[in-house]
Amino acid sequence: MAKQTKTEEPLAPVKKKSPPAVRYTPNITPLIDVLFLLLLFFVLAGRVRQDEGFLPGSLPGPNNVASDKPIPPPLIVEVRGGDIRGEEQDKYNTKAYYAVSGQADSTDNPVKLRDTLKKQFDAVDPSAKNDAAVYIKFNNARWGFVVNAYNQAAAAGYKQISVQQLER
Amino acid sequence: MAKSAMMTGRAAGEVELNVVPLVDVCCLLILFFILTTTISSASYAALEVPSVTDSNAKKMGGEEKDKRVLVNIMCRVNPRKPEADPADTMDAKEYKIEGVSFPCDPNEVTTDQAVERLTTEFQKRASAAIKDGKVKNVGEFGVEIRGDQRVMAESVLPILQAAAKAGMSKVYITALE
Repeated sequence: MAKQTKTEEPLAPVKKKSPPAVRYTPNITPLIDVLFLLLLFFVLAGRVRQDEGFLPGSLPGPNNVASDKPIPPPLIVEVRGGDIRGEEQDKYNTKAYYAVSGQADSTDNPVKLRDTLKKQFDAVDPSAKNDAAVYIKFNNARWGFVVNAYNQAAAAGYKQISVQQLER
Repeated sequence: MAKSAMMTGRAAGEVELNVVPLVDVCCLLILFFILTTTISSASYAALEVPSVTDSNAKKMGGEEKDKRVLVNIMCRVNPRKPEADPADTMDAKEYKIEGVSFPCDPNEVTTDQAVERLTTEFQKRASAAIKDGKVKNVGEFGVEIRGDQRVMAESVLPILQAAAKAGMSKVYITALE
């Protein structure tokens, strides 16, 4: 029996053991804690800003050309501060009353004002609707109430809306 | 505090960087800046914008913004103080255009002076818009009235007068959408 000769395999080079890698392990727990506190703070203290928009209007031009079409007489909406009605408890005009020309009663409810204006606008001849105008005259009223009257006139369908001070 | 290698049982030579104090200080700094800094806009001053019932206000597009001058009507009282005494909130303090103040207090200026100053400003801005090609003429240029809802409506009249004097015909009234 032939003797098998053991072939000697070359030895693999001995790997030099590298030093353990330096690991940086920042502790992020306090970071997360503080971030949650910040989040909680802003959730409780923050206010979501409401979107602003605009109500379009126009000033009377210097050289308006007279129209041949019959223009309906303007509707006058008076916005009067609470003190005008002699309400002593509202001497700082925290309320306002809307009175539409031709209507006996005034109201402090903007929705009622819009309903009244809408009825008047619906009664206007369709060909003259674009020329139908509302004059908002204010006296001792705060700006917010005037803007509200303007908004209701626009909602009723009027395109020509003017803001002016009521002659005292 | 950094823990020693012996305490953590790690091999000698293993370096651990303790970033916890750094993070703490950074977060404190962030908190400080958040609390002390107010994000302000030169155009949109802080005030109580009129909140109307069932608003029909439209959103202003970018193109329209270039064709108008925004006038803020400031109340005497801090806008962040909604529970202010109603007696103190009636009078307007000043008009603000892009952060520039135009007084309207009768103790400081007459109505004519206020109208004159506003007219000059409107003309200047309308001319700049025409020069930049944003509008063709002053009639296309408008004024946006962004008033505090608590001030008396009389304070708006000088703005309307000045706009008419400057030849502007478009008016926008700011309200909450």
